Amino acid sequence: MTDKALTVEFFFSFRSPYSYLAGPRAFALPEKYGIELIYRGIRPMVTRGVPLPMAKKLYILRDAAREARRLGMPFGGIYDPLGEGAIRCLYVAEYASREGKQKEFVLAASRAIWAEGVKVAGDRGLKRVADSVGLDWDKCLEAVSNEAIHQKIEENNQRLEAIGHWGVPTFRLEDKTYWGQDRIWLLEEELKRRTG
Amino acid sequence: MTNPITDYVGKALLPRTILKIDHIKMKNRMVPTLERALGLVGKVELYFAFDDPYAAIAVPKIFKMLTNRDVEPAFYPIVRRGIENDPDLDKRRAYAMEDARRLAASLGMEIIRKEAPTSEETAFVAAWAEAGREDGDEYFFIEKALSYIWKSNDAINRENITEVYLDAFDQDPPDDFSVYEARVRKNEKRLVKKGHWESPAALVYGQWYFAHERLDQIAERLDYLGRRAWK
Repeated sequence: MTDKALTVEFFFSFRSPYSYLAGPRAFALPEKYGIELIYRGIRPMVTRGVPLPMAKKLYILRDAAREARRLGMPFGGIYDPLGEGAIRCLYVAEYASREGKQKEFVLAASRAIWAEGVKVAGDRGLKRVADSVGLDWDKCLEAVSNEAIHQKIEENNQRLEAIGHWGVPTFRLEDKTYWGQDRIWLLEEELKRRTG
Repeated sequence: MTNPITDYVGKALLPRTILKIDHIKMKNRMVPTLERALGLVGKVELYFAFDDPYAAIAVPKIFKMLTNRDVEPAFYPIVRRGIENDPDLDKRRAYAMEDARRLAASLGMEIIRKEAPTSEETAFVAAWAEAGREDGDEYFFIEKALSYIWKSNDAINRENITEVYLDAFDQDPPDDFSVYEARVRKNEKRLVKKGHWESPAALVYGQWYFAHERLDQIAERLDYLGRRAWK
């Protein structure tokens, strides 16, 4: 009999700079702790009716830049994907999952958005990202209008709601929730405790 | 259809420019250098709410961080905070309890209260903290009141907090504290005017930080600005 691996759900939005900062550490968790990471792409907060006042917008931008410097991650060459860009990336990420390239696409697309100034709302920008991780561009375009993928994204949003949370990046380990790229260390403390 | 120029300006040029200007501002040491040359102490503003469990972490930690740096904390108690019409307010409050407990434990602190009080329940404490500013060193009341609120499950009422006030100032709190409530309103306006919306928010030489979760970053900024801790 084998022990079932612990699962950690990772709620992620391409519109969230903190999701971008969390990405590399989140996708490293399976190798570090032998857990299963379930990526769940989420629509941007503003499209879910959550208000984002200017003061908060500016704080997030500035704080994310400071945090990126601390983490040694590139940041600042921004092209905000709000609207089409963030949504298209969500769909392509689901297609990438089916191709076994989820991690590669999510990391590459979020880096393109927050550090490389790529406009993922446009075909040229998104294709560049898809090509960089070896995804078939025609299939990416098909994915964007795929009903099953649409359903999956809606389920991800419902799941975030079901665990009683609203923001990203969020991690869920059984009944415990960790919100923020700056709480990954707390999640890791718990994983260390559980995996010995 | 979106205009490509306005799209580029709003989604790329503007945020990039904001960050570039901000980076230049962050690197600027002029104010603390002048302060030191004139023998002046610096100031860190800390806006906090008594109904916020994160304040129980931030206030004592910031106070301790600043005591040997020639930087004084300026405490601004607030009651009204957060985003207007926030649909996730209840979720935020519930999560803050869970998260604050874990954070506090990791810092060798403790949050004992089971359920967060409402902002209305602790509004008089904020006004009394303002009153205390006139009676002496308000930090001792603030710290003791936060400790009472978050390190016990005892009732939060005027009678019990009067004991805390007496302990801090050796006198009773004011019977009529409407003037101090007005000062709390001023604090809230000041927070918003200066560019923040929540508790606990620290303004450190032009940079905002959520004080409970950016303690290392605040210390690093003060170090960078020459406001190092004495050896």
